[in-house]
Amino acid sequence: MQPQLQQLMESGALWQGHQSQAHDAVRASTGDALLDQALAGGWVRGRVHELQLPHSFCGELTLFGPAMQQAAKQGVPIFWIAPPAIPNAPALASMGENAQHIVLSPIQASDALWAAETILHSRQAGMILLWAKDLSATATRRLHLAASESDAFVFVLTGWQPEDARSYGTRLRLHHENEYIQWQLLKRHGGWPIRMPRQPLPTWLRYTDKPSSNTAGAMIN
Amino acid sequence: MWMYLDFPTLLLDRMQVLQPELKEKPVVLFHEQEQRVLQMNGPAEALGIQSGMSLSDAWLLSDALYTLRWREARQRHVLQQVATDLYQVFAVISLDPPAGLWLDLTPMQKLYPDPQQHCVQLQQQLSPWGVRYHAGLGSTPLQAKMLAQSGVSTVGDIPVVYLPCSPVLHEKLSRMGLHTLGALQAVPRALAGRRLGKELVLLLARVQGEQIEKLHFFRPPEWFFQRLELLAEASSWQALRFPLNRLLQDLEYFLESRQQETRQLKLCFHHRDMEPTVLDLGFAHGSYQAQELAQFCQLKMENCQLNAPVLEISIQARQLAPRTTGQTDLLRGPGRQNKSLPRLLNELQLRLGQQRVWGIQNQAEWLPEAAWKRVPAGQVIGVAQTEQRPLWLLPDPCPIDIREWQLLKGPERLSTPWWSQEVAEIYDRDYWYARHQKGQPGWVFYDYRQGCWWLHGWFS
Repeated sequence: MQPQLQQLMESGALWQGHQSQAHDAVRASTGDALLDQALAGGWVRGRVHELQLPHSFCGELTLFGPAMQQAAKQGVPIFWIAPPAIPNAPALASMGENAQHIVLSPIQASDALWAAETILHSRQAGMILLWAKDLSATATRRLHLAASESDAFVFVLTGWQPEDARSYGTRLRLHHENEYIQWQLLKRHGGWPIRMPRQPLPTWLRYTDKPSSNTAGAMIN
Repeated sequence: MWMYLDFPTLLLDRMQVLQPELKEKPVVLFHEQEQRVLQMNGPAEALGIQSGMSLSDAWLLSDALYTLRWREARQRHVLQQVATDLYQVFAVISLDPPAGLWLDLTPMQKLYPDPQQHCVQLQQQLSPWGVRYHAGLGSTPLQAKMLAQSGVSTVGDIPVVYLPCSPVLHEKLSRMGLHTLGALQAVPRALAGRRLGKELVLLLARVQGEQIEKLHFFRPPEWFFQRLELLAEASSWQALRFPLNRLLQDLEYFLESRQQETRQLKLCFHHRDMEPTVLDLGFAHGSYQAQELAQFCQLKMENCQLNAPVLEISIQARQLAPRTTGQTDLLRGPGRQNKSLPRLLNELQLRLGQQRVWGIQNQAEWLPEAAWKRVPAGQVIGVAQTEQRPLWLLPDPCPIDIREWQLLKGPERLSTPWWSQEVAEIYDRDYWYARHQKGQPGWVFYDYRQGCWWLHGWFS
C-alpha cells in the first residue's frame, strides 16, 4: 500500500467502505420492553430462536415486527416457510413497501427443513420464519450451524416441546389463557429461565394502525 | 469470391469430441441400406478402411471395428450447428447438406481485407469443433465446391468426375478423353453443346458464373437442441451426470455467444422400447452457466425415478431471453453472499415445485381475497390500499358458530360495486372485528347471500 494512503488511514481521515456498514444492528427489538430487557436487547442475528405455542394466532408474530422492519430496510427477503395461513399483504405493507415476502408451502416437513437450510447457506435471507411440528435434535443442530454462518433472524415456531437440551439460542414458551398471554423463557443467553408477567394478547394492528386511529387496539386492551 | 467447406467425416468427428473414448478405437459410420462405410476415424483409416467400402470388407480388415449407423438427420443437425458457430465471423452462409457449406467472402472484404485473414478466422472458429474440413476458394460457388472436394489447386485441373451431373454424361466425357475441367472448357461451347446436350451447357454456365446459383442463405436457429448417444446404457442418474454436463457445456457456449439466458430446459432420456422419460425444468429466473444448470438438473433428477436404462440424451432449451444482471452493493462487495437470490429461488422451486414458492403483493381491490395476489417470488410487496386488515388470511373462509364470538368493531360493508356486477362474482358482506371465546381476535363476516357467518382471518 502506498505510504501516503497508509498515513491517511492511520489518521482516520480515510473512509473505508467495508467498515462503514458497521454491520447492521446485531439485535432487533421484540417490541416489548420487558422481553427486550430479559433477552438483553432483543433477538440476535445468526441464532435460532424457538417459540413454543399452544396454537397459532396468539399474537406471536408481533414480536417479529422490528426485526421484519430491519430486514425490509436492508432490502433482503423475508421467508415464510410453511405458515399456518396466508400472510395478508395489506397488513404487512406497513413493514416496508419494498420488502420482499417469499412464502414457501412445502408438502413435507423434510422439504421445509431443507429449504430453511438452503436459504441460510445462501446468505440471502434477512429473516426466516419456519413453522414445524417438531424438530429432531439433529435437525436443530443443522439449523443452528447453518444459521451461525448467516446473519439472518431465524425463528422456529412449534408446539410445546419437552424440555430436553437443544441447540437453540433462545427458547420461549407461550401460555395462553383467554385474553391474556404469558411468555416463559426456557432458555436465554446469560440468564436463568424466567416467566414474564401476564399481558393482554397483542395484535398486529399496533403496526398497521396510525397512532391517531388506534381505536380497535384500545378496545381490545 | 466463394469459399466452400467440405466436411468428409463431420458426424464422426463430432461424436469423437463429445465422447473422447471413441478416439482410441477404429470406428466407422455406415449407411444402413447400402451397407457401405461412409465415415471413418484415424485408427480405422490406418487399418486400410476407405470410404465407400462395403461393411463386410471393413469387418475383414479388423474384427475390433466399432460400427455405428450414419443418420442423415443428425449430420444435418451438426452441420447447422457448425454454421451457427461460423455465423459469428461470416455473415453470408449457405448450407449444402449433408456435408458442406458455402461462405460468401465478398461482403466480408471490408472486415478482412487480407484474403489470408479468412482462413485464420475460419481456423480459429472451427478448432474447438475438432472436425476435419477441406476448403476451396473459387469465383463461383460451384468452382469452390469442386476445388474443395477434389483437393486440386486450379480450376483447370479439376477432374470431370466432380462435376455434378448424370453418370451418363460422365461416361460420355471420359470416352471423349476429357478428363479435366480445363480440357472441357477448351472445347468451344457450341460444339460441346451439340455433342453432349443442354445439360452440359447449363453446367458450364454455372461453373463460369454466367448463370447465378440459387442458394438459400442460412439463418441461425432461435433455440438450442442437442442430443447425445451414450456409449453404454446407463441405468442410474449418477452415470448420466457426465454426458449431461457435456451437453450443458455446449448449451452454455451457445448462450454465452448470444448473451442470452434460458428459462426452460427439456431433458429427454430415450430408452430402448419405451416412451422417453422427459424432465421439464422451468426456472423463475434465467440461467446460463453449465455448472448452475447441472445443479438444477440434479435437484430435479433426485425427485424422479429412472424406469429403464438410457440410450440417448437430448436437451432442448427454449424461452431464451437477453441476459439480465442484478445489481450488487458496491460497498458490501460480493463476498458476503454465497449464491445469488435468483439462483436460490430456482433451487427452491425445483425441489419444492413451481407453485410452492411465491411472493405476495398488494393489489388495489376491496375484496380481501383480491387485495393481495400471488406473484413470482422476489417481487416487492407494494403499498396497501386498505387499512386495518388482519395479519393472517385464511385460504378459504371457514364457517363459524357466531355464539362463540363477541363482535367488537364494525361493520365494514363490502359488496360488489355496481360497475362490475355483470362480470365479477357477486358478494355482499359485513366484516367485523371480533373476539373468539378463547381470546384471539379474528375477522369475521356475515354473508347476506348465504345468510351465515364466516371467519376470514386473524389479527394476531
